[in-house]
Amino acid sequence: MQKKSKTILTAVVTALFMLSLGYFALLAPTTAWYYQREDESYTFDFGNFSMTESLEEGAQSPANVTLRGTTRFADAGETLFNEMLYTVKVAVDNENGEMAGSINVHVKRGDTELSVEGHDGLKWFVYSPDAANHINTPKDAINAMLRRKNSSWPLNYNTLTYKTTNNGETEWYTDYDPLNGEAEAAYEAYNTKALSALQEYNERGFSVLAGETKDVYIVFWAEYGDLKSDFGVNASAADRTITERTFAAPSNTTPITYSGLTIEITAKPDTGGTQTSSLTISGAAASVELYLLDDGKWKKYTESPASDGTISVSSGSSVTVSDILVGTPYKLKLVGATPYFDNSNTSVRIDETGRELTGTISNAATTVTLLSTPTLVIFNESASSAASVELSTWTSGAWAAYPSSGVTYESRTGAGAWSNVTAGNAGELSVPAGGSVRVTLTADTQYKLKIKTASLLFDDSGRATQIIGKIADGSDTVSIIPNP
Amino acid sequence: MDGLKHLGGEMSFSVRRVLRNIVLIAVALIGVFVLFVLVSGAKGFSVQSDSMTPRLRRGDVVFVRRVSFDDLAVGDIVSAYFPQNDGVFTHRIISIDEAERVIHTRGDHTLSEDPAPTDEAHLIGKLWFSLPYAGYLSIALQNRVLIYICFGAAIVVILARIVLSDRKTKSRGV
Repeated sequence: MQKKSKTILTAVVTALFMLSLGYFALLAPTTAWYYQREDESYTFDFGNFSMTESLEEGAQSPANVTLRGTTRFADAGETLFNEMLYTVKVAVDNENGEMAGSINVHVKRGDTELSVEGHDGLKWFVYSPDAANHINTPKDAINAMLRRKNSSWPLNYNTLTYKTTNNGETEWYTDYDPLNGEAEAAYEAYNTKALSALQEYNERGFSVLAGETKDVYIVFWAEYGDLKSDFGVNASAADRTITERTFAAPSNTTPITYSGLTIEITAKPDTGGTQTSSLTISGAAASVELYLLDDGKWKKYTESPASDGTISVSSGSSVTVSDILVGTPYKLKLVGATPYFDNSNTSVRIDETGRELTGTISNAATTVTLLSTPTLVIFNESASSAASVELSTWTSGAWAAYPSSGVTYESRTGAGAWSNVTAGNAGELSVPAGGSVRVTLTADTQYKLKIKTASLLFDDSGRATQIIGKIADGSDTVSIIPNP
Repeated sequence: MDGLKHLGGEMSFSVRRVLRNIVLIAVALIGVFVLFVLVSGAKGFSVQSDSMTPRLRRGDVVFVRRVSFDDLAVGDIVSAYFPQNDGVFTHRIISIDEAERVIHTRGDHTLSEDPAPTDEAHLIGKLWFSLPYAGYLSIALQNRVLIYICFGAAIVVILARIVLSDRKTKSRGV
């Protein structure tokens, strides 16, 4: 009996053992959408990944970068920024791939990965031309990158400097006044904010959709701020001043050379590139036409909620267009004379007529706001000085201070939320450093702005302390800059 | 001396018996556990990737139970079938679209949301519990070389037992 029980027990345990072994041995796998390990047996592909990237002929690794002189980071007013660069072009081909891919660029000097700071003034930046968003040159790309990051507007100085040897003596050409302490302080404050944006921008991958090719440019320059002591320009004013807007360096210019550079490019699948997002239009009642850039052409959006190609927005409500591929450029056109695009959004571009807005669909849901009345937005590009501005409007044949004392206008710092501010004296507006104010005006209103802060000017076809404008088809934007 | 030998033999026999009982109990418990999982209707999957690190790691086993779409919540970990690659993934819900009856998911350790939402029909179940390391056996069995080695070793053991058993029988004079 005991022997029989033992036999039965053994059989049961054996069966349980086999069951357990079989169960765990034959478990179905679960994995990620795209997962790849070095061992091919654990590779799961979502589509066929196929990307090739090649440096243009002549760009070698390790590379030597030779620059004619220094310049400043993201100088909006400097037309010569693009002249002082060393550019390497990378062709990225995803024509045969079935999934989106992305490339990341790494620049090293020896074994050290180059960040945006230090490295004897050498800076680098990656961009890809984007005609729809008016990115044609490196300077366009930097400006767009900074607007996207909601950094303060680029400074408006020219800081082109290079040194030469003339009869054994060192001379330098510069359009920069090194004795302007306030400008120097503004630059330093600006660069502190902008460099973090640049570092983040360089670390992101460039998405290339399946069936697409893209040119990516790696841009190098020598940052004046890091090298100015080498030029000795702190000691006295510049010998010569650049007055021309075209660059013609003397033949005996002393170049700045950085050697031992290595450019590494990695490619990987980019599921983020296939991600879709949405565009929401809200605010005032409007009829809007939406265009999406597809294969290099603007195509009118005719699916729901667009009816006959027009999207109708009711006052106080919103309309959302979903399932738009992230990274798609879009254009919105207002039908009719009203309403107006919110021109305080620095991540989009509104044309001169005020009736057309262009932007790019981002990962986060995109919102475009419509205003029932036009506005005057005043940006203060100075990072250190608040601006005191006097505003008046032409009313009944005379200039009258606007808004009246006790009336509120809107103010904000950076790209933060708007808050109401009560005007002290009539017509006096205070624009925060690096911030902006917004005043509602009626259409066809003529306005006059006077700057009261001595260290600041209006950036309006030159530099002025007073400007006169008119709210016509759309809202107006005015920028304040430091007085050089 | 014979007494000591006998005592030593008895102790060795007791240790063997205890060990054997421990193994038997462990096997029985595991077997009962497997039966319980099978009866409950839960499905087990062996985690092959690190996309849900640190919550789930490669080598873990996840057990999921079927739930209705309306019982799902943001933050739940679910297993779903993705037809694009004829496979199953186990990720966390980051948003639920009630109108479209789809969920958006993402691995805790991945940089971006999964490329496509999952509809109700492809949802397998919600995470009930997980067992660390229990999935390594199924992972190992994906290695064919290892399977051949195990198979070969099993044949050697069986043949050895047959030969030894035969010799024992002959030595008894049967």
